[in-house]
Amino acid sequence: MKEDFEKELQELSPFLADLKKQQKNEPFKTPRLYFDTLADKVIEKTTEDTKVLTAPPQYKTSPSLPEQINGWLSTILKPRLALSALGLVVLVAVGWYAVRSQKMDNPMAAPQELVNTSDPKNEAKIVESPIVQNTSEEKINTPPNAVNTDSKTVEEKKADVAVNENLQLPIQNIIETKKDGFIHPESGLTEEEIEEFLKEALDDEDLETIGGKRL
Amino acid sequence: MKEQFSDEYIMDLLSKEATHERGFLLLMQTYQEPLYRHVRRMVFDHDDANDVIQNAFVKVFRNIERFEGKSKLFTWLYRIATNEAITFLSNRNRKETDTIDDPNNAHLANQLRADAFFDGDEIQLRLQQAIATLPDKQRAVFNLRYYDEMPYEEMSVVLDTSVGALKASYHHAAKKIEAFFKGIEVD
Repeated sequence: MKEDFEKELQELSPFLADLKKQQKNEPFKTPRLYFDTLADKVIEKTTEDTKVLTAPPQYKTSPSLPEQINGWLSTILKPRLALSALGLVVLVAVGWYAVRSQKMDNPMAAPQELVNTSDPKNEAKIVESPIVQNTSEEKINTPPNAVNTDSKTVEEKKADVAVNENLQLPIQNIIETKKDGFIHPESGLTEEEIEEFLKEALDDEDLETIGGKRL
Repeated sequence: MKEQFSDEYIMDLLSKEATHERGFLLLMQTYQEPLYRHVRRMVFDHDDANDVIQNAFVKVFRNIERFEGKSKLFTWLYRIATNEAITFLSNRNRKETDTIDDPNNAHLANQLRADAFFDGDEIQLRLQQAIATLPDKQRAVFNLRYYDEMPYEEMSVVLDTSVGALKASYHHAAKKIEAFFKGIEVD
């Protein structure tokens, strides 16, 4: 059998056959007494594995309150989470400060797109812009059932004017009379009479609109 | 001089619960050295060989009742150890990517030079470098034939491969190793 092997190698590779003859010693060594202790190590390993396989299952119980707190603290105190949270807080603070300081510097500032243009027509828009902004709030506060005069026809508007002329209150005439500093020719009242009338009229007005609600 | 025991005697001890452990100790005493050397030639490093051979013997201990006696006990043990070594090498190759950039296994030569448990000369070192270039299974074929002088019929049982395929693999491996020494590339 050995001769067959040597013959095969000699035919296959004379170089390797010569090499095998020259290299008789085993190059791979082991630590001292390795083979004397290997069997014990293997037996020990099989015993350990058997213990693990036969060990009773450990049921997980719910953690107590201190354990929960400890776990929660250890989670939030992890460096990555802490740094992320800190970065987020700083970003929010910087953003809030920037928005706040912008508002404080120029509360009546016109929209940026108008300021940046060189169009002279935009100058008027820049002046009007705060007014437009304020009036837009008025529009929002207007009750939905308010009458929109723009949607009325020309004839309806004319009728409204006629009604207003007929319903023109004497009090308005009185106020105008006092402002001008002379006796109104239509009413013919003196200055004292006007004041007295005005006082009564105001009292009536208060009684009619107590609590902001017309009685 | 260590006492040698027959496979029949060892198997008889292993079959009885009272003598099972003694039978296993005798099995190890008989076969641990040739099996260790075979594994060591496959993985080169002593610590790796130690892990592989321990795992192999643990498997033998657990599965000894599956041995049917159709082949020699020695052949069956070689089969388990070889499979364990090939599995180990596959896992190691998957983790290590530097071997792709090191076709001549220069890192292995350096590793063996620094290894306190390697006692070979430069020619031995070069031979191990050449063997390391072989695919894992072909390395097993070459080692079993070149070092252990195992007959092809037994190798066929160990590696679960036909005799013809094993002969071809061994011939090809021998040519590759010779070419490595001469600095020629072989497909």
